[in-house]
Amino acid sequence: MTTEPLLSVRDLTVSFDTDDGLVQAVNGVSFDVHPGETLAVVGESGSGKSVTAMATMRLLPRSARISGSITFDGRDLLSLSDREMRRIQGEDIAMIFQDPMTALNPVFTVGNQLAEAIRIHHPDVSKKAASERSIELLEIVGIPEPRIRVENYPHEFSGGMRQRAMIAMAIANQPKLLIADEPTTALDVTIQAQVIEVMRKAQEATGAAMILITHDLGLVAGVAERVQVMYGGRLFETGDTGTIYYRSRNPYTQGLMRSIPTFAKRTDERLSPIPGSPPSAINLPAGCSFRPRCEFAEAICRDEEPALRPLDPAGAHQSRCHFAEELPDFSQRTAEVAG
Amino acid sequence: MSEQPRPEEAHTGDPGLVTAEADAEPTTRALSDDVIVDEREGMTISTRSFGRQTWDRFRRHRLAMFAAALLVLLAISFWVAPMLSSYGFRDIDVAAMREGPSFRHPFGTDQIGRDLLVRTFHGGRFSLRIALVVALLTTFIGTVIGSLAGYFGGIVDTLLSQLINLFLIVPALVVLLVVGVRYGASPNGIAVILALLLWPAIARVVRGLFLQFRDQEFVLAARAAGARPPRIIVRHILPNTFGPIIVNATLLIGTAIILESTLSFLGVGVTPPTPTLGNLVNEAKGAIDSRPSTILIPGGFVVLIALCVNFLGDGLRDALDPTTRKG
Amino acid sequence: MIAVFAYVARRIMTTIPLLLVGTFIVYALTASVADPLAKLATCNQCDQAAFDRLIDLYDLDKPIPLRYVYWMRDAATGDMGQAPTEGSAEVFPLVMDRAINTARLAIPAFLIIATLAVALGVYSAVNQYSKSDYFVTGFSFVGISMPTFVFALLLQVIFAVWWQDWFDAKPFYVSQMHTGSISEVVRSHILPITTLVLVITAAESRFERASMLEVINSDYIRTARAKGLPRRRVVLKHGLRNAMIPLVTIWAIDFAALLGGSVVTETIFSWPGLGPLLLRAIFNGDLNLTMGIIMFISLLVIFFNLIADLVYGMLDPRIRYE
Repeated sequence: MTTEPLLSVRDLTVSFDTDDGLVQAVNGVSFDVHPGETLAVVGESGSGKSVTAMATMRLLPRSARISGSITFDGRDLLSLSDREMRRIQGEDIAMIFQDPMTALNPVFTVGNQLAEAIRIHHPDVSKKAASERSIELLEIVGIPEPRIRVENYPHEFSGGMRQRAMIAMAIANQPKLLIADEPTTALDVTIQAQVIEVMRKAQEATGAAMILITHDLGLVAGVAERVQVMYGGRLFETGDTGTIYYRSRNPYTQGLMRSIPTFAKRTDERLSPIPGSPPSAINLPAGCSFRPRCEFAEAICRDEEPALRPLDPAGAHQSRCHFAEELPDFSQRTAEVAG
Repeated sequence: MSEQPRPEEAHTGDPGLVTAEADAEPTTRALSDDVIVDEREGMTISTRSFGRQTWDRFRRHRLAMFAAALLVLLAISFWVAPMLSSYGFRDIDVAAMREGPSFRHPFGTDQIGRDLLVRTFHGGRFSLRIALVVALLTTFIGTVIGSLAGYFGGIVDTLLSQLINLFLIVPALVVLLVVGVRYGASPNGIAVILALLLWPAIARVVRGLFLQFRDQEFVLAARAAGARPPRIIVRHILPNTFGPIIVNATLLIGTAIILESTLSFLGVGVTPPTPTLGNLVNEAKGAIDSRPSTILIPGGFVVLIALCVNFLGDGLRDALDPTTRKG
Repeated sequence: MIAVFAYVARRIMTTIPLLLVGTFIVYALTASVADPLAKLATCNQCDQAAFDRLIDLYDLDKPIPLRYVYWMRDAATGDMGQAPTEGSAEVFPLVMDRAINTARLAIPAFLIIATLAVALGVYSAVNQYSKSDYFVTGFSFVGISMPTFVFALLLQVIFAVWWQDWFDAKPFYVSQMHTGSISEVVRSHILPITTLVLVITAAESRFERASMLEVINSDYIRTARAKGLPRRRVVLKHGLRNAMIPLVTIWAIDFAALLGGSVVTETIFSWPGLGPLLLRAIFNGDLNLTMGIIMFISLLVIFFNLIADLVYGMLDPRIRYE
């Protein structure tokens, strides 16, 4: 990667003071997003992937304690004033949320909410022009009869259509970066592929970079160029999509792969969920946080937390595991099991 | 993907999912082994029991703790203090009428020479007792009717909602006044009247909770296992509604004490000479310009009790009903 | 539009049975207490003819349900009868007269309450857990724990006893509205209005705070913020509109209750409104007058609930009148 990164997150740490103690939601996360590329952030719930996105958008509650730096387009987002940040929100960075059923305001029409997104950043655009642009946007995201639909209220849209409307709203100002936080999780399986397709088209139309946050590693193929896997607030593995899919060097990533039904079938392996549940962010276990659920765990995993280590000279593929080099290849292992 | 296969998926007969079922057993075993390890190292999401969590949450509510303590203190003093005095609440001392505070009569005496300290504490005792009876009775009636309406729907439910509408149209205070003039003599009588008026509020809450739980999986499972409705209602759903019911019952004590004292103040509550806090204010209101303290003391006790009850209820809501917590 | 009319018509139709049941209950209760003959029984100049006249006038020889039917029949034609304990005054003009006096308190009180409750509730919710939030919450706790009569008497003690020389509280009389100075009118109105405002605002602001908090933590508010809208616009445009929806019902109930007369406040401040009139009617067993006031209050409640339902539909596009 020779281009200057669009977004550069360094050593991001986010914690919340709750009644039950300090919750470490994100712990020393660093990554880059380059212009036009799509980065997938994958992990179970509570892995800190959404909090990372919310921190980038500066949408976390005031009680959140944030350290590290988030540089976007050469500016440190964490040190901007609220006013300066608002100029970036919705204009340069736009967000698509998980649940389209609740993400749109029920008392305003879809067109009204679209036009608002435009006019807040471009007050010189007339109401009429904003309305025309809204119809255009609905057309881009594939909503039939956009001229009629623009007058509808959100409750008159289906779930898939609402998510399309959300996407339309996100690309309204041709942002440089789109953050999609579990955009298909709340949708029917049949709709999911359509929405992913719409997002790709929207990204094409605007040339935006995208961070796709999902718990579904299966969704990532064919959409993202790079994948990073998070667990317990830490980055566990990062690499090109192909590398992660076929040459993962992390037991957690491999566990995620094995619980994708289609993947398991293709490699002729049984579908096997990762045992146990993700750690509580309040009291992370000592050493490697995945150790209690890991089949390769040894004494060192308890005593020493592994670092995120590069596995190739360029550092494109990195893994947080003491045994990253010794781990059997995912495909190789499945072959053994099958044999 | 990390989610455990859901039970209904195992029954679909889809060959892709049958493998999930086959894997379920070793997974569970691995899971239980891990939990033991986890607990030792404090890794599970929560190892505290529900009761312990509730208590912890409640304890953090300092104001509620303080209110509870003050309430207990007030109740004890209402019952104990009059015993220590040599005056009864009916004893008239013609030699000491309309006296100001003194060593013998710390709150002074009323217009016919009765000791106001004794009368105030007795009044607090009657008022608090009425309020407690109202809260218990109202909660009982409201829970029974609310659970029947919520679980069975149909005619009970229709009647309940019509009754709630009825109470909306004919304001409760009016009915209270009319009934109070006719029947409001004894403390128990007032308590029953108030309970008969207040129960729809509880019934509505309980009905809502039952509607919510009625079709949940644990109830369906109980039904599938052959449990009869009474058992499902009492053993399966009711325990889930205890939190909100306890909170509302607590808050009812405050409502009851305010309503009772208002009725007594208007002269349609408990018949004098039985003192209640409202009666005492009523008796003293003629002396508002000469001796305002005779009004402010019993009135202040009503406010103090209601305030404590409301703070306590608020703390209990936070502790017992975490879903309603904001932020 | 037709759907709305149909809805209103249907609502009225379904309310009538409730109104009949409600008024019958009050009628039966009051009739069982009220005995117009009781006064005559101790009067030695009265003869049998006087008894007979009264029995005839109030149909006292008929069973209560039948008397209710007669009363309802007359009421439906606009004849609310006479109030024997108020010098045989006609009930309808008497009630209207007092209702106007009550409205003199109710309308300003309601306007203040509505504004204050929204302002405090929203402010408190937006600044959750700040010092001012604790202050507002504390205020509403004291307000909901304070019986109206205690607060009214407290105001009287403070402003009409301790600080009477400075404040110079004035009693209210009807001709004051024409002859009295503005300062006199203000001084007669301010204490009762303050009483009503405190007690009701406390409850409403608490409700509005909870409603606003729920809205503020909702996904669409996050969406609005993600668009880059200023905080103020997020709260006032996207938040308030949604947070007002549940408040409309509360407003309808409270405004109807205020216009129906506040027994405690008006009695304590000797206000010639509906409250004291109702209290007296009930005490004296004046059946016609009691029923006249109850009827007025019930119709107010029904009317404002209907209005609330319609406003609800205007604020929330998800509501359909089917």
